[in-house]
Formats: sequence, structure tokens, C-alpha cells
Amino acid sequence: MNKRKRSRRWEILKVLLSNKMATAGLVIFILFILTAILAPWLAPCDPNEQDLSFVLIPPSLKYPLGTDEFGRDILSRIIYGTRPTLVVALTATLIGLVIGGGFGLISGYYGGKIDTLIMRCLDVLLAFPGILLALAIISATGPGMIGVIVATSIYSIPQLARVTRGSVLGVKENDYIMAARATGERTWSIIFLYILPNIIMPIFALTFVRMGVVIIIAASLSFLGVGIQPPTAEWGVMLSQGRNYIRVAPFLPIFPGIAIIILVLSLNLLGDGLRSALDPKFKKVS
Amino acid sequence: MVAYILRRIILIIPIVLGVTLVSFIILHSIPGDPAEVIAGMDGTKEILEKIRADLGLDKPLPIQYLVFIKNILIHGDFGYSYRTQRPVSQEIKGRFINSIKLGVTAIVIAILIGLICGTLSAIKENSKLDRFFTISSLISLSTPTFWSGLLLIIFFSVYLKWLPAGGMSGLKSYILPAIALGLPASAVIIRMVRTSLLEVLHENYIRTAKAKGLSPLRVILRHALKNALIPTVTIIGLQFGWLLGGTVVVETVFSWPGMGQLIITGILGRDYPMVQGAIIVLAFAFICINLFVDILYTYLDPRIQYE
Repeated sequence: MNKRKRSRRWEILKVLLSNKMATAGLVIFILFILTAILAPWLAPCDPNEQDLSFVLIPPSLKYPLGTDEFGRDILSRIIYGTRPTLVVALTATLIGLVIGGGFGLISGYYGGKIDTLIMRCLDVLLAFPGILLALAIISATGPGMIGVIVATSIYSIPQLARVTRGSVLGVKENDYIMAARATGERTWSIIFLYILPNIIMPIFALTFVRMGVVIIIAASLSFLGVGIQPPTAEWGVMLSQGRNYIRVAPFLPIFPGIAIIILVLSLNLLGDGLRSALDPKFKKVS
Repeated sequence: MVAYILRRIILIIPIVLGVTLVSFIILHSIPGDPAEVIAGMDGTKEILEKIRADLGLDKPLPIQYLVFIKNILIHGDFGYSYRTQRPVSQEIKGRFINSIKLGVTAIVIAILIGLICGTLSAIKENSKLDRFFTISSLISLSTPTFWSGLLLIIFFSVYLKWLPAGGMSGLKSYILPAIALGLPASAVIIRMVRTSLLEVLHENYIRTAKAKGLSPLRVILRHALKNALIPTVTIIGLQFGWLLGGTVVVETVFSWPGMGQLIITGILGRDYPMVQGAIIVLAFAFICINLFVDILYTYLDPRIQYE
């Protein structure tokens, strides 16, 4: 059993790596994480060090991506900007995964009234289009890192709950679950030992895609001025401040945006690749 | 059919109530006292108490909620803005229409791009063109709308000076914000059109149509697209709903006088009746669009039975 499980995981990894786009996504995502960890060694300057004699300098040898309105090195700020972005993305997605996944497991496994109750409550959260739920929450928590994390976590819950519930429903009626139930296994051990291992990979695939959405929402909140606040080196903040100088320094808002796109793209590639690696329908194609 | 529609309408009532309850709870847990915000610096104790009594803030929360629901349902009244002292419903009215105008323009652009590129992608499956559309839709799905908006401004307003950088003045001012807002939606529509068209193209009736000697264009337009569009309609409806949320961001970039500005200034100024009203109205519009799409879907696809 254990050996087979390992070989299945190995197989998924093999298919994932045979998918060029997914491999690229995985590599880029790992590079971003390394950048965040190694930021102090990678950044050429202190991200908050101002040099008012070098203000709004276009990209040059000394400042590869130019300087901002306070003469701060943009490259260093983008490198340090991976930190708040990844902290928010990873924390919020993890919280969303645990709470949303938990609700999904309970809802799918028990069914009946509990299921209806949980799903209707989640429907209410899903009735706020796009960023609105996050905005409503952040208006209560107030701006700042914690507010962004709370808002994006709650935002992630309903989507992840729905997918988990769907996956549970898909495996619940399988013979091995029936067998486990017949042998008198406890409910919790059925859920954690029999159901969870079989649905975890498709949920992970979606989790990566959702993490990309969380990054965009978090950056949008900061851009709107209700998220992470200046002078923190954060991409949305940099974009929002650079916006005021687009006439004199149009390069200012470009680079933080590219950083967001590459990171989110890598997560989308990874999620899509993982999904097709898991789907037997796609296996024949690749 | 009528019974089905009625049942669907009844089903959204708890969701609408839930939305009002959630926004009420969220916005009433805001730290700080709105009475102090209204009174400003010179708020004596008496003035503060009078303001609280006027606004009903001295009553217990459940009562406040019931009064709030009653006012919305019976009078369409969302209370008064703390900042401008005018009824929220009046402040919202014009703004909401502006946001809808922008949203509709954006979805029309998204549908046009989505249909054309998605169809081309499916016809030329696995060609360079198909790959190009697939990659560009992946990229536009990963692009924050405020960034594409800023880029459009830099290129078309600052550099080429063709289009206005912001504000709402004539048809020209719609172009840039609508493109920024519509791009991610167009990416989703391209994907959907491509997938569903590819599925349909392998069906027998398409082979029959081709065998009859109809021109490929006619086969695509009259036979394949018609059926492939049914699932696309749902996606378009959902995307339109999402655009309503997305306008908040794009409006800020383009200084568009819509709901977005109202919400952001409301949040920063702790004007909670305003934020609450704006969010509820947008969520309600989203719910109505979803309902409409569901009904349209059952109407378009006779295979679905509405029991």
C-alpha cells in the first residue's frame, strides 16, 4: 500500500516534470521563495535607504531598475517585496485551506442538514463579487498586513471548501470507504486516512491557482491604499505610489507589475500542470 | 418554467438576507466611533450623544439590524452618509449607473475578443496561433487590472496622447478602462469557447454538415458555435458579475466616478452606511445576474429539465 502510494506520487511528479510549463512554474515559484529568504544578500541596496540626490533615475548600470521618488533602489524594493507578498499568500492560502478544506470535508462526508447549512453560508460569502468581500472585511480590520491576511483568508475559504466537498463526494461511495466503515473504523480515521490522501492532490492543484488570486487581491488592496501601507516595500504599494509619477518616470510602475505577473503566472502554470498530471484523460495526450 | 423561475427567486431571498447580515456585522465591528467621525474635532459629550440617538447607534445591534433591513426593503433606504449627510441611495444611484456602463462596455469587449480568438484557436487547434492565444490568455489571467490599466495610460495617454487618462467624458474615455477591466474576462471566455467548440467539432452532426458540402465558415458559425455557446453563456454571466467587483480597482486607476471611489473613500473615512450600501447593491446586482444566467441557461439548453 505504502509503496504503491509512493509510486503514484512519483508518477505525478514525473508527469508534472514532463509538462514543460508546469516545470517552469515550479522552478519560478521556488526561485521567488528563495529570493524572499535570501533578500538581504541578493538586494544591492537597503530597500528603505533614501538618497534624495538620485531621485527618479531611469534604469542604469548602478540602479538596474531605476530609483523611485525618494531615491530608493527599485530592484532592492522589488526583491524585498517578495516577502510581504509571499507571507500573505502562503498564510492566507494555508488558513483558507485548513478552514475551507475542513468545512468541505465535513460537508461532503456527513451530507444532509450540516451540508446544506455549511454550503448556504458559503453561498452568502460567494455572493460578494470579486474583491468586494475582501474590501468589506478590511474596512473592519483596518489597513495593514493583518487586515490583508484576514481578508484574503476569508476570501479563499468558500472556493476551497467547494472543491474539497466535491472531491469527498467523488470518493465517498468507493468500496474501500465502505469496507473501512464496515470494519468499524472511527469516522475521523476514515476521513483522514482513507478520504484525505485520495483527494489531496486535486485540492493542491486548485490551491496553487487560488494562491495566485490571493496575490492579486492582496496587491490590489495595497494599491487601493487599504492594504499594506507605505513605506513597506510591497509591490502594490510601489505601484500605487509610482502611479503619481507616470508622466515623468513611466518605468516606475512597470517593474513591480511584472514581478506580480511572473509570480502569479508561475502559480497558474503549476496549478494547471498539476491538474492535467492528475487527470487520467490528459495522460494519454502528454 | 414560471414555477421554476419563482422557485429560483425564492431561493435567493436567504442569500440576499445573508449578504445584508454579513455586511452589517462586518461594518459594525469597525473599531472607532462613527459619532466622533461625524462630529469632528469639536464634538462635546452632548453633541456625540445627540448624533448617536439620531442615527439609532444607541440601540442594541439586533434592533439596529432589523431597522436597517426594514428601511432597505420598504423604502430602498440605506441611511445617510456620515460624510456628505446625503441619503446613501441617492449618492449610489448615479455612481451605480456609471459602474454598470463601464462593466457593460468591458463585457462587450471581452465577449468580442473571447469569441473571435476562442473560435480561431479551436479551428486551428495546436497551431502557432492557438498556442499564442493560450499563452496570452494565461498571462492576462495573471495580470492585475490596475497594472494593465496603468500600462494603457502610459502608452495611449502619456506617450501617444490618443485617449484620456481618466475621468468620464464621452465615448473615448470608456476605451482604456473597459479594456483593462475586460481583459481577464476575455481570457476566461477564450478558454471556454475553445474547449466547448473543440468538443462540439467532433460531434456527428458537424461531420454531416461538412459532408453535405457546407462551407467551413458556415459549419462553424451556424452549426458548431450555436451549441458551443450554451456553456459560454454561463461563463459570460459569471464574468460580468465579477467585473462589477473588479470595477472598484479599475475605477481608482482611471478616476472613474463609479462605485469604486465611493467604497474606497468610505472605507478610509469610516463612512459605514456608504460602504455598506455600495457593497450590498453590488452584491445584489451580482446575485440577480447569476439568477438571470441560470434561467437563460435552462431556456437555451432544452436538455436541462427544471424540476
